[in-house]
Amino acid sequence: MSTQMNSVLRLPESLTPEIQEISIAPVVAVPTDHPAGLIMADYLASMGLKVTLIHPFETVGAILETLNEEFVIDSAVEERFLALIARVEENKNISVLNNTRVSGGKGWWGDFSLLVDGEKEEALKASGIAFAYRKQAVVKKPFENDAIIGFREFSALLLKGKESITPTGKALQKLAFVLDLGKRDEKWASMTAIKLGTYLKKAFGVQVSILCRELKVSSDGMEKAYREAREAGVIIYKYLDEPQFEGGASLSINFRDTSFMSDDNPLDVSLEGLDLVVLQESFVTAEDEKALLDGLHIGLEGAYVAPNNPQFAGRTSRKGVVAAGNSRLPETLADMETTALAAAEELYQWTGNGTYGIDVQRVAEVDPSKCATCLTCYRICPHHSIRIEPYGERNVYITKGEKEGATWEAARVLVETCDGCGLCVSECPAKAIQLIYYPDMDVYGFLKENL
Amino acid sequence: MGSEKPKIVAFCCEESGMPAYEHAKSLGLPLPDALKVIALPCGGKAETGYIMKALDEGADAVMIFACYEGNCKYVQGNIRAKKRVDYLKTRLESLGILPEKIAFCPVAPASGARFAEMVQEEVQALDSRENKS
Amino acid sequence: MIIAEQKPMEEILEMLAPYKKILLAGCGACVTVCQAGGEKEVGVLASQIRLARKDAGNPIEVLEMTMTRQCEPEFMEEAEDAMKEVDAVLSIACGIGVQLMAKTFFDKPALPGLNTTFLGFPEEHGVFTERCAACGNCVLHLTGGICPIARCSKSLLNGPCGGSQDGKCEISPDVECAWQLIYDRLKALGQLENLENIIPPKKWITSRDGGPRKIVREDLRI
Ligand code: SF4
Ligand code: SF4
Ligand code: SF4
Ligand code: SF4
Repeated sequence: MSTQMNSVLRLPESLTPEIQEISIAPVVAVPTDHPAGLIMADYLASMGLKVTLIHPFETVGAILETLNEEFVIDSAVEERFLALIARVEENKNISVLNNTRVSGGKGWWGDFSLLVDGEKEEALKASGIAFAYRKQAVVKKPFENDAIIGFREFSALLLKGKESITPTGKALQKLAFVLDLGKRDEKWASMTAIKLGTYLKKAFGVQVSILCRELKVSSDGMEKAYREAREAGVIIYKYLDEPQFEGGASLSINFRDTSFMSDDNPLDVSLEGLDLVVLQESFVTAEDEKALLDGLHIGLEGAYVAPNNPQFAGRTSRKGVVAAGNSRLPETLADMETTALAAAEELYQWTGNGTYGIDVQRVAEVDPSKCATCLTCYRICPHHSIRIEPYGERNVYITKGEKEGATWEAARVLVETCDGCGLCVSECPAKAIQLIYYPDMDVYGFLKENL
Repeated sequence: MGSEKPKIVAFCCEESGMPAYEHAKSLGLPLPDALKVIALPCGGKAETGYIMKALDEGADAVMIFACYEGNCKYVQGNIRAKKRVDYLKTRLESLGILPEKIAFCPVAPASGARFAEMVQEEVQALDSRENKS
Repeated sequence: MIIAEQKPMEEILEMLAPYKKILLAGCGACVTVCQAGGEKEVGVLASQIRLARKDAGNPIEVLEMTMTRQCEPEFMEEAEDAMKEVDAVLSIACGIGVQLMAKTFFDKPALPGLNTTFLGFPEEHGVFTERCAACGNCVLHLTGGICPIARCSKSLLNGPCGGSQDGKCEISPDVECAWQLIYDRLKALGQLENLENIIPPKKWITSRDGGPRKIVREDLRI
């Protein structure tokens, strides 16, 4: 065994990068009902982009009132946001559509349109979209008890200081985070629980337990945070069946722990005398956001894309669309502001430069003479970068050799928005698509040579 | 000279599997000499055709290293790959070939250790099978 | 379109047992779209066959080809050269394709790699459902655009049987009762009175009961 001998086939460089210049109009839309939307609009306008701010309230100022739903705000914060609103209202680069709801969207980077109703129904054109919507947090308590709360409420409590840390008023000594109740497991909850847990344990000696189905430690920072938490003495349990809650004044949780034992040899654990239980809440997506995501073929999953590279904090699964605020994760005020700025900066990169060079080799390409217009690629592309349009020279119903002059429907990859992932290639039943820079033959050739 | 067996083909997602492989190498972790590594832009690019072709050409096992669920840069590439692996396993079984010859392995970009470990597990699984038959 | 699915591997291998060299022929039309017999499936199935036979110590040579459409005599040309070389052809087109191969290449066995299953469409990607039984005498105008022949388990023509429950067919809670669907649709269209017109017993002669069917269009004949 050595580590030097393996044959490796790497992603090829484009041999002669073929750059196609496309121009992108510096026009963006910010559909929002969240303060993060204001931050993004302000930033993008200050960079010289034309911004349309679309929101459902009477005035822009009303968005500020939504701040205290999520965060604890003091006068300094309020002042900062009042100044932000003033800037947004005065900036000539921002046109504001008050009382306006979004009912859909379509298009791609450089050519999006949003369906807005409100005063008038129209399609609004934009090169890029930055959206931020609120989500309603729903805490599914096993029974009514003041000492069972959600993450969002807990963050609010924390911001007020240690003394008032339990809703019942007494000092916090024993705390349990319960994650992954219900189906969906989201990374943010693991992350928040670990970070807060470590902090509380270190700073105030609070006894912290974390119950989860699976700890998401897949990203870099997480592994470190996880280690730190363990070292600080935060206890992490894994359960398979939903934990049972009991109690009135003092709470207890019973469950089978599978973290150290094998699955068939679990340990019954009973956590007693808890002062506070923090449950992972589920979030209900706003109607406007849903309509927007459906129209843009992003879907909730796509809005949460948590890439391995954390520098793309605001990125969604589609080029030219960024998200911030509750449209991504619940977060602290400072995090919310940072993500909103990062998202706006990301969108600026996609819309602020005027022209963009695209390496047209690092994309997929359909051979229209093979395409059976089965729509697989159209359905599967995460960037919604494939359209079926009357451009191909023939489809399967034209005989070979008779293709001249005939135009038939076939799939076509939009070069501008294709990210070269190759999903369409691997799913096409007709083998009609190839990644230009990395054709199947490369892989087959490598296999033949090396096996 | 290292041994020519077992021939394992590792399809590696550029976002996770590849960095994990490089990491494993930089840590000097033991990997079989006959490990063949193929980078793909996304785990979802590991198509049924690639996997079957690799086995057809004589690979002893095919492993697909992709991102953890919820981490795919392309939203669902890893999930597609996993589904394909599950489907192919049922086909292999009915061919009278052991379905363990294909493995879907989620891995984080910085866990070279896990990468090497999973490859070793596969090698051992292959060995114990060999000894049985 | 025609929906088909691949036969179990065991069956395919059994069919191929006597042969040493075959052509695996896919089809670029319906079976490509329903992901049972397009170029991709040809590649995957060919590898699977080779692998299984190699493992069994009885290797087989598999030529691969995806024809434009296996249900047109002219396209048979595409397979001519390959057919000269092989012992048999495994066609993964629908039954029509297999038969046209058999007819064209009279001296070589043509084997079906698919089970041709029904006429339908993808309700969602990867989920195919039956819609038409090709009865030869369509009644969709009377039944709100929902076929009672193909979608009612008993092909009833005048309302549901007694087993219809909560909109589901009595054969399985996963099957929608066609007559519930017909009722709902007619109600939405304001055509519930349609139900009062009794549909007379169907002449099945236009369907399979009249023997193999044939359409001759004199105007089209060349
Ligand atoms: S998946 Fe292939 S055959 Fe289907 S529409 Fe796309 S290019 Fe055409
Ligand atoms: S390579 Fe990926 S991004 Fe590009 S068209 Fe195909 S599926 Fe879409
Ligand atoms: S009535 Fe006959 S022709 Fe019409 S859809 Fe039903 S089976 Fe097909
Ligand atoms: S329950 Fe409905 S679909 Fe099923 S046999 Fe009876 S009428 Fe037909």
